[in-house]
Amino acid sequence: MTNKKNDLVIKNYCSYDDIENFKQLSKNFKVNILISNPEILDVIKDNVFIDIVEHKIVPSPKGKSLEGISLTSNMLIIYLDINTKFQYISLLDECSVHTISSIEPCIVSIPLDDFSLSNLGININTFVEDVFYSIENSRQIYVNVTFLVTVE
Amino acid sequence: MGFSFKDKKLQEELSTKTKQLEFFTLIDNCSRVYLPFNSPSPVSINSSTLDIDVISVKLIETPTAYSFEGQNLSGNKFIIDLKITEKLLYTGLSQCENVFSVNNTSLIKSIYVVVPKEYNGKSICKIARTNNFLVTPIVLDSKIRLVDKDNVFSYISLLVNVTLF
Repeated sequence: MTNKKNDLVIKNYCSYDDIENFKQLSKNFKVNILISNPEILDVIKDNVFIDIVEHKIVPSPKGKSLEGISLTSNMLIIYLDINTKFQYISLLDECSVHTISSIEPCIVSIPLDDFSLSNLGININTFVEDVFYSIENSRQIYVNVTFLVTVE
Repeated sequence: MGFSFKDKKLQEELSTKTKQLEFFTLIDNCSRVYLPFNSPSPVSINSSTLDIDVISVKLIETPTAYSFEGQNLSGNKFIIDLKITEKLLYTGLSQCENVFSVNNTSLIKSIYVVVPKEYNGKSICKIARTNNFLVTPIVLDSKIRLVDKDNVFSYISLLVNVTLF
């Protein structure tokens, strides 16, 4: 089985210079091909996008850790769904093309500035920076998604 | 959802002694809940209970470094193993709407908290040897989400605080 890595794609979020609240995350998971679908030979195309399901502000203790993490009294909790869709060539004799999709949950907590709850203008953006996938076996694909979550 | 302290003593200790937390780390954990094969498909989630146990704590030595990102390594770390047990009650798809439960106990997390080499004139090795520390996991937020009959997601946001004496 072959390992494939996407080409470097330059995203257009470089204009966001003055972001203060952000988090860089890397999430790995496995996508299983159902028994009803044929086995995989090679992946043709991948499509990964992130949905923001819900966000909420919860109180948290204050402090600055020795490691460098700062906590303010408000923490923004964001629930995300990582949607992956792969288009693949099957192992069948006719080499037919099929798709497999899956959803992977993710949670991000970002400490906010001293924030008044009356100010509810929160804008959350997610940027998929890199998608790495590798075919583990004929029914499993290992996926690693690197992404950035910003809050304005 | 607010804080979920395990008992009142810890809550008082956190509120009085450590107004500003010093040694802590934040972890976000999310996982897929696997329902038993024979049980019916879930219709709705009724309730969930979360219990966090500290399995083991050990002290290790690390290099002393400061990264460009802002991460600081002081030279010592506590490696803390947590076992997160989640019990879920759900209504199954059946004529009489039976209630089922499932235990999601496979969540074992290994995390680290950076601690100083000395605290109040005592070396961290002595503090670790004499058990003069307290590990407090605090649940900031947790949620169970039923996407469809095959996908039940569990989200947990945790703050693990270490208090040295």
